[in-house]
Amino acid sequence: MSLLIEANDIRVEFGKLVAVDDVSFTMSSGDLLGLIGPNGAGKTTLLRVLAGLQAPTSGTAKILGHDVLDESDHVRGQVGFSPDSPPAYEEMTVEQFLFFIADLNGIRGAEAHERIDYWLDQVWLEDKRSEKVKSLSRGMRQRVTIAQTLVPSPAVVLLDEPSSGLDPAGRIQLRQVIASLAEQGKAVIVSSHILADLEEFCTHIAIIERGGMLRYSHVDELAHDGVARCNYKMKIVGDADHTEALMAIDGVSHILKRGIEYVVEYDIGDDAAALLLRQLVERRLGVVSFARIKESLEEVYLKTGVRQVD
Amino acid sequence: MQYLVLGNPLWSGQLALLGGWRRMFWTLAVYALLLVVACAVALKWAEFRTEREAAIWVLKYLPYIQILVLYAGGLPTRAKAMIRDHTTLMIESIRISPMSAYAVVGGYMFGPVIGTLLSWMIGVVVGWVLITAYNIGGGGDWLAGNGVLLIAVMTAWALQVFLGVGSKKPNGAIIVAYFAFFFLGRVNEALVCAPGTSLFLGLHPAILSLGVMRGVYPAQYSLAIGLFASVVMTLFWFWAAVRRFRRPEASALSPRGAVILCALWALCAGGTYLNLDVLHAGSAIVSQKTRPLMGMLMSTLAMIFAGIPIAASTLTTRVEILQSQNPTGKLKSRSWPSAIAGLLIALTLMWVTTHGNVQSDLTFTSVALVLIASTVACFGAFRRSAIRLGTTVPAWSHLAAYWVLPAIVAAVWLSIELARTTGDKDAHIGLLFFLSPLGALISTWWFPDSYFDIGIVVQFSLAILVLMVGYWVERSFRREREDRIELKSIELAEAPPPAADAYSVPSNNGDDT
Repeated sequence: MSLLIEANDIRVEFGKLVAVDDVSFTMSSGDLLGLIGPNGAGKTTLLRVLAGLQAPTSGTAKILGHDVLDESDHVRGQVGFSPDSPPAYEEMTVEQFLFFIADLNGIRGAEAHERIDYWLDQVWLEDKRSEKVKSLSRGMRQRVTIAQTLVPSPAVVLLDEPSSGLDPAGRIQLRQVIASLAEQGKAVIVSSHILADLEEFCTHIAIIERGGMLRYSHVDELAHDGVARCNYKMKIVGDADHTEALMAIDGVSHILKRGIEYVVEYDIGDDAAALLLRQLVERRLGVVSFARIKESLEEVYLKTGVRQVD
Repeated sequence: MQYLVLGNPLWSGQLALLGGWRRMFWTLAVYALLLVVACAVALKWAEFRTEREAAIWVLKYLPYIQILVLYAGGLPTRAKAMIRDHTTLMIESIRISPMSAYAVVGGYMFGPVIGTLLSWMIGVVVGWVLITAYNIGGGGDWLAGNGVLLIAVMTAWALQVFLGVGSKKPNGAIIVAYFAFFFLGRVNEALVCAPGTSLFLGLHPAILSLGVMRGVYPAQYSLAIGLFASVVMTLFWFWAAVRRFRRPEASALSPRGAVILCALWALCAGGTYLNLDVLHAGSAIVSQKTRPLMGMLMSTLAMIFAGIPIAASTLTTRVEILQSQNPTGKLKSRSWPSAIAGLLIALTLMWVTTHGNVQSDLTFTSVALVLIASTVACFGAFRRSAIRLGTTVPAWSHLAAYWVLPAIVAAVWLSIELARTTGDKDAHIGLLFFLSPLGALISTWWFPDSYFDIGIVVQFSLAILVLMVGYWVERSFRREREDRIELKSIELAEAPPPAADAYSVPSNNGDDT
């Protein structure tokens, strides 16, 4: 997988305010990063730096190995950026506007028609193509912005609050579109406050607060990253209370009983889970289900100590 | 250079925003009809004995309409288009598109004003038809004058794009400046009050084009200088706009570019004064009418032009320091040549302006000198902070203290001395008073006819001192970096060859893959 995004010690200062504080990460083809954090955490500024729209105070951002500022000729056209407030010429029709964007990106003729038709269909705007942008609702404009970002087919896609203003069906549609981008080998960064959405389609999650990156993990590892123990849920048949039997297992602590369901705290990891299960079986406990409890992204987010939740 | 002229997406985009070709056609048709109706009314005017006289009358005022179309039509239209692109964030979509910066600047320069250019062409055709139909003569002059006007307005348009690509509110100042110069100032006054400035803004040839359209040619050198300056400045502003579009956070002008800009200005100013007639006429105007304006403009412009190269150099250094990927990277720009260049250009400007024109008035010269010195001192101090702290943001409280505090302390001290000695006439205000530019300015008013002014001497001494401090700071910074580079190269030479697997891509994402 080729390296598409390299952020090295990016720092952005606005006077005394540090908007982005020495953030570093890399992203490869097919990676889908969810960027979460409270308002004013520096998510948008970071995206703008990667798009080459904001010069970092220090550090460098590279797209496809080229510096976004010093080698912008190689970068422009490879990055699609969708800001949280949809940019558009309101006096143009949706189709006119997308043709203008295609023209800006050197896409003309049949290819432009083909791409615009495809994306209008993908974002459910086929029947709005002849309407002026100013006549559209907030959600519809958001769809236009998504289409605008994707018509040039950039290698790196940066989406800032793409689901704001979208109805539930639109959000589902957007999730499918974003997932398909990753399948096409693009690197996608999505900034959003809708954590459930991110959890569903992201491969990586980054939590940002006050400009600093508190966490950056693969989505499967996020809940257990830096944690030694986790919870296991099991159902044990029979009327007897098995709490004591469970407590007798070396390493088990914090047992919670709800009927036949028990939640126990034990060491993390596949080997540990296998060991725990083996010990349950050896003790002849009637285990009918056994699973490691995965924390939701919201729980992980709150655990990081970020105060403000939007 | 792709799409610089033809096929530029910004052209077609702006045309679509203006309502497309159909709406453009009808708008222009209405304009052409209005012009024809106005001509017809004039031709049938009762007081004209012949239609030819009426046509001559029309041709007398048509040049003003042509100027109005290009300036009053073109500037606000482009301002509206650029402000819209800022407010809708479309300028950011354009910035990340693969269009070259040259094409974008070209697009903004001509795209929003397609209608304006076509309206101007309609005016040219109407004038040409009148000239040929009534055998008035001077068709060549009419075309040449319109050509001069078009070249002149390009300077204004390029300057406007330069201001527009970097700022959300770019155009109020330029429009006010142009209208003020155009409507409030006559040619000679504009030349004398702000030598070079009208050339600098491309306004001088625009004014001259009025005469050329009517067959009244100014001195050839004046027209030549005007056109030369206009073409050069158009290219200069265009290039600066390209630079600013690429890197809005960086200085619009490189230190070298800033020095060239100021030198061009001084050259144009000097060129204007080559003609003794203009000089004498200017002196007469200045002495009678516009002396305060002259002093104010001269002081302000001298200060600005002393500051431009130094400010460009300072900002460039800051960006170099802060964005340096390699902590051992070398600094490219140097501060002292820019400061010296700024100082020399400002002093040259002073000499050019005062030489032969306002010898009798030393007050304004003194004021300008004090302002130049304090500008150099301020930028020298900012340069130091750029190198030491990585910032060029002026501390306004420090600036206010530098301007006012020494004068207040000295005045208070003098008052105490006078009270203590019960009005000793030998008591003098101390040097501290002149350390503040305010004090130095006051002293120039106290001794208006003195060739030797203590305030100027103190201010220039202070400026030189600050420049020297800046030079030392910069030298030590450069030496420190050179030492680091040397150390790094020794470390690299002595380091053992890395293991084969040491070349993995650095990542701190916690992902083992």
